Amino acid sequence: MSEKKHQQEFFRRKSFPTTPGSSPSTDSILKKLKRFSEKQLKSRYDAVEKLVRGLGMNGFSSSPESPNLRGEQMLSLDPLPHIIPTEEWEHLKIGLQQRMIAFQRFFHDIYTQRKILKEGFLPLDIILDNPEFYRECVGLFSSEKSFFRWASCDLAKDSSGNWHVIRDHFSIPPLLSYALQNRRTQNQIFPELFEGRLIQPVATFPLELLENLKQLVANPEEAQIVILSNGATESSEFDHSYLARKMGLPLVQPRDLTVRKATLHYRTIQGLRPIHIALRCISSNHLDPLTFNGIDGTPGLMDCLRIGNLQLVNAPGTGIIGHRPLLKFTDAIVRYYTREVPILPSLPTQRCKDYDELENLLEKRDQYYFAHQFNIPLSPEQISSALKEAPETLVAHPRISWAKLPTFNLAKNEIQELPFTIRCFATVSQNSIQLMSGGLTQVWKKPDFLNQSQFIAKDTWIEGAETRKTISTPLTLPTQTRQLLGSRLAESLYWIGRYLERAEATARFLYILDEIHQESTHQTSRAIPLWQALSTMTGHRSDYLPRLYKKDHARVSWYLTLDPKNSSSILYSLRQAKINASDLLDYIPPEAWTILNRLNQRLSDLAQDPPTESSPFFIRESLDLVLNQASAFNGMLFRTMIHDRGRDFLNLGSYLERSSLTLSCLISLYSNPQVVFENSHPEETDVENETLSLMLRSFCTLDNYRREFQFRSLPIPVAEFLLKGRQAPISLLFCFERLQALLKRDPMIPLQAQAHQLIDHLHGMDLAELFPIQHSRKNEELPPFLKSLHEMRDRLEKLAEEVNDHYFSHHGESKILFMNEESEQQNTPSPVES
Amino acid sequence: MKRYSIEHLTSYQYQGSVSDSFGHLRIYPRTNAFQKLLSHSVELQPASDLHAYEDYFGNQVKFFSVPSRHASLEVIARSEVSVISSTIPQEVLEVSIAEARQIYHSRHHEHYDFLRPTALVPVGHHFTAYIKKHLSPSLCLKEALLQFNQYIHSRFQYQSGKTDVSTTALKVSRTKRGVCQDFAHFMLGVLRSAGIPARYVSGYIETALPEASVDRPDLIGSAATHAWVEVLLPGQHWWGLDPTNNIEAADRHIVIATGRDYNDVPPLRGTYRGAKLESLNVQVHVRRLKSPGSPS
Repeated sequence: MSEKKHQQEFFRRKSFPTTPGSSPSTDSILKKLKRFSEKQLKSRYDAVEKLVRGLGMNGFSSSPESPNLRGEQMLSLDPLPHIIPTEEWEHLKIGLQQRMIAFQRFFHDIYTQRKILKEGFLPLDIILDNPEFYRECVGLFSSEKSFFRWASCDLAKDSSGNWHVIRDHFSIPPLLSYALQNRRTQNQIFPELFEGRLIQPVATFPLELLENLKQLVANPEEAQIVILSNGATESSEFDHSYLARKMGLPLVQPRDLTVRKATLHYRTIQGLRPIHIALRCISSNHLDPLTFNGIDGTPGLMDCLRIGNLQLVNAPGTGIIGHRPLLKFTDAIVRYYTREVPILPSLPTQRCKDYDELENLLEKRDQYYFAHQFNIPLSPEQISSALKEAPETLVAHPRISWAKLPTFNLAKNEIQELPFTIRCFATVSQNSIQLMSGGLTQVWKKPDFLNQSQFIAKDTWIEGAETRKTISTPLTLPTQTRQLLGSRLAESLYWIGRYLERAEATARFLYILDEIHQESTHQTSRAIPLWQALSTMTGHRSDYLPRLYKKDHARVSWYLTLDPKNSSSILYSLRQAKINASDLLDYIPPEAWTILNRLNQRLSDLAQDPPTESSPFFIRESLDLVLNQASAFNGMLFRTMIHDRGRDFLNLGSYLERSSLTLSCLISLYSNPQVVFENSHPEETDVENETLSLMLRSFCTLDNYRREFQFRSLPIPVAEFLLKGRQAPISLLFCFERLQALLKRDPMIPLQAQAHQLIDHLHGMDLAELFPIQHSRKNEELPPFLKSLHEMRDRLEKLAEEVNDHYFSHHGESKILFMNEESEQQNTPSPVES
Repeated sequence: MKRYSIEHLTSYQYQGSVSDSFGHLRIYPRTNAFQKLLSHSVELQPASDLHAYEDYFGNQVKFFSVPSRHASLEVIARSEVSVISSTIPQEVLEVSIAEARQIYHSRHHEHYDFLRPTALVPVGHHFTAYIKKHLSPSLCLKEALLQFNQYIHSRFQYQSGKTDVSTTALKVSRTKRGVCQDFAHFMLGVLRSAGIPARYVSGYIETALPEASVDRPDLIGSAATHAWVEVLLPGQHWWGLDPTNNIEAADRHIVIATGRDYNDVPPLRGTYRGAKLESLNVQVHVRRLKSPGSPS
């Protein structure tokens, strides 16, 4: 079949009846589409799919109010837009405005006087037993305008052209991002369809919402606003991060926030930043464990709200609306609060909770659709069993003949007529309710769409010049907040740095120790000092690993390499690195993440087979893997990650860990009389100190040492090299100087002074004076050299603790920085609590 | 009238250092028709600002925060309270349970919360046997309630350490043992299932009388806060019954907070970060003061 003929065939199969969804407008779009060959259409389709996949939009109608529905299935976007005639749109607009005004009053009443209940207009249980009615929120808001600042409603159209409200979202309106992105996708992939048409824009909605939020505070230009979300575990993550990008706001999680002086603060590496407004994208009961008796959230957040130091949008407690049985009464609610007839009636609803109603419903079961009380899609089997066992969890809606929209089905090569719903979004302020001129049209495979999760999206077009008022004040984006690096992010990077350094160092030592073992299996004493050093470096008592080693070489190798329960094993460290990295998927380039993920996977596979007598453990395989892949990860990060403040924290972790390892190793070896002979001036002996050589090899730096000193490995030069070898990445001076440089980038901090002290400490150590080391002294006092090393270790630990206090936890006694008190705090740090 | 001085000490010891301690305190005796809070102070160690609010049930709540590092947290509350025995018109107590229920129904929306099930106090058929036995509709409300109070006291075993704050009334009805809080929850479950609104009370009790005797022995519920029940009587009177001690809550009971169950009124609900909790120590000392002008 020729291409042309095929194309004709493609469009002949179905004629286009003038259903209520189709209009002269739609027909002209179809005409345009007809000019595409099938091949062209296919390639445009592929482009849509690629774009959607790249963005991570999955085609599920999940929301924070319904359980997670994660899947591989991606959103499909129909190239044929849903065009709503202007008059029809005006009707929807007035209807939705009326509904939203009524619900503003409803929430206010329900959370203050409860007149509607006292006067008997609603059954008590519909509110008082509603799981989303929070007694904790009663009396929190004195004004109607506070309840919701943005909202959405889902509408469906029946075959006689009447619209019905099928669901309201006055708590967390979901999938706004889809409505916005669909327009962009449509525009990018099918620009021809827009030619010669005037379509009202949707892209400004996020900024209008932002302006709306700012009206909540007295000083809008200085308002700090965040979007509060649950983060990467939520299927709605795309939705929230898209909104954050379009509004230019930081996307934070409850653990990014903390309460100080009854004010909510964002923990950033530049200190605590007060938050004035939070756009709530998590359920009310996950906001604050104190008020909601839970385990999630930011303790004290609700107290900030009570005191008036925080605006939370939409108000907690508005989730009542997500409980489907309420839909039965929403028309009554509109009538009660507006004294008007509802312009857009709600979908008729019956509660299966009521026994009489249920009996009636069961008799005429085929005339109804049943839906879950929390809008969870159910299979027919689930509905049958719920009707028997828990009818109170269901509601019933009469079967209605729905209007349909023509929709392409490329796989079947035809056009189908399918039922649809449209989600309309609005910003709500004291004086006006502004509808977004468009929305998310969702096309469903079956008329029982309340029990489906997968939909086909359509861009939604309202034609004509924009009639709404334009924002006259210039829009300013709070770019300053956006540049802040959240403490959680910085801390994760810092720990990736530490754990990787630890894993690599352990692997290098084990490599050399394995070599020694292979060379001299009968001469275990040769390796003992190095095992002692590794014991100290990995946080064990110094004789712990040597004892294990003497008993069973395979066991100790396994223990330090792959034992997942040992918190000092390489596997454990790499898993921790991966856990921290998984929190940073936005930040770490995917190529680097893949390396770390795969390394973890392969080590975990190897860890499936612990050593037995018949199958000994070959450590080399694991060590090679770790040494190659950890370097590959670091290299990939170095090449691909943005070198910003975040990168600094990765380095900070590396240098702190490395200097701590070097120091521990030095302390262990130089405390050992068998390594550094008592009463011997090392220069007088001409025997190379083998242990020190092995140690230098373990640090991959023996050749560097030779180049620098051109001398055998002897205690004083080796100590000199590891302490002050400025060029050697393993030396303390190298690490300290870099730590100092990193800390210097933060101008307000006394931390750089501490790094400076560490460097001074190094320079102040005169090895000629400190050697030889007298190991046995009276009063068990440490020899001066070791004492100095111990002091240095204490200082280093203190520095690490203060890095943590200052940048991450912000709970140190004297180092809490309030952004608005910078100048005062800088010179006279004082405790927060008096 | 009796006057009391109350010292309420709560102390948390941690195994290491902790930070970011945040909490809500409900340790402020209420002022109502029968009880007056004369003075009150709370001290935290380490110190903290306190922010007060009134919760849904009208209880005073204070929010504290200790963000800096600490190894222990101490809350010392001192209150002075005057109490008189509640007076309830006799005719209210003489109605039958059936009559009472009808009266309740006319003001259903006001006490709806105190009839509904909660996480700790389920309502429904589990308690039918108790209702048939103790709260049948024709009985006089007062007599029935007092007898049921006595029934719990005599048939349920006071035993600490076998239950905790998450023990439900259902479990208590099976094991028939626990502490004041469990008896209160059980009593609430039965009363609510019988259509009688009732609420949970957290408070203090004067355990030892200045002149203890064989007739008037010491009461149970000493070391920490006490719990009992208030039943709604026709005419909006709340009548306190203490099943742990088989008495009416009168002028030896000091009300701190009321709610649907324990979860609405914990004396301290808090969170912190860091080391594990090593020990929790709660001490309550209720001391009777000489009332000016009247022999005690």
